[in-house]
Amino acid sequence: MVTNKTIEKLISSMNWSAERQKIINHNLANADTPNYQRRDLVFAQELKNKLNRLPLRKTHPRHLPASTHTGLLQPNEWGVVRVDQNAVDPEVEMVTAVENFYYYQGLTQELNNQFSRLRMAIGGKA
Amino acid sequence: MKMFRAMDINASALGAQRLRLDLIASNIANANTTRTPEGGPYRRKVPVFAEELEQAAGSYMLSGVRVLAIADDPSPFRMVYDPAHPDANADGYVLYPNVNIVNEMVNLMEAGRAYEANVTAFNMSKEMFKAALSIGKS
Repeated sequence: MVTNKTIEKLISSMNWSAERQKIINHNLANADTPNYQRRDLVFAQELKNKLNRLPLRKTHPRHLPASTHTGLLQPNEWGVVRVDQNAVDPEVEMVTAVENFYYYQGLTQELNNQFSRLRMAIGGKA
Repeated sequence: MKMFRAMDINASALGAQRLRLDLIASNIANANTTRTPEGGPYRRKVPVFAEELEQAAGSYMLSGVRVLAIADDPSPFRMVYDPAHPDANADGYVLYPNVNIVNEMVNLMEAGRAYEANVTAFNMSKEMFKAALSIGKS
């Protein structure tokens, strides 16, 4: 029914953000688990997966290939800093969580705007 | 439901940190206990946390943290010279629990902060869920 591309994109972004919230919660939950490595959802990688329909073409044998890594989860890049080999930084997690939270709020607001515009077009009260 | 799952993860962490607080309380309460049902002085209790992953359709689903076990701290007991104590050995030494109050207090603060961080994260998940529910209103 709804054929609005913007709405579709907003919804998929919201799904991504909800997934990320889950992973941040998982990191925080494991802030005291020995050997636990921080995970995160990487947007660039998601995008790459979406763009797989348009693979990079190598025009020279020494060109680097596009990464074949398809996993969405990756440990942090700073390495391990604690004796129990745990690599969760609660501050980083909280900041990421707040960032993600407002991203989600923004997406919801934009989705609401889209719907009010639709309503306006239909002729109801905007 | 993705959002409900986020809250489940928070709940698992709150439960784990709560258990940690309980164990610290037990350790402090028994810092001078020389007799236990197992015999000998009280041994310091520590929780063992592990990451919880659920296998689902060829991939893993993150599910928070799980308490694997409540382990005994194997470090040696404190020896205190007190010949008048009923539990003193032949040389007059009493074995006291391997509980260090300073360690316990530091752990207590850390567990409290971890609990708070998870409560904050839970509130954020809740607000996100509320925002999603309000789509299309107004």
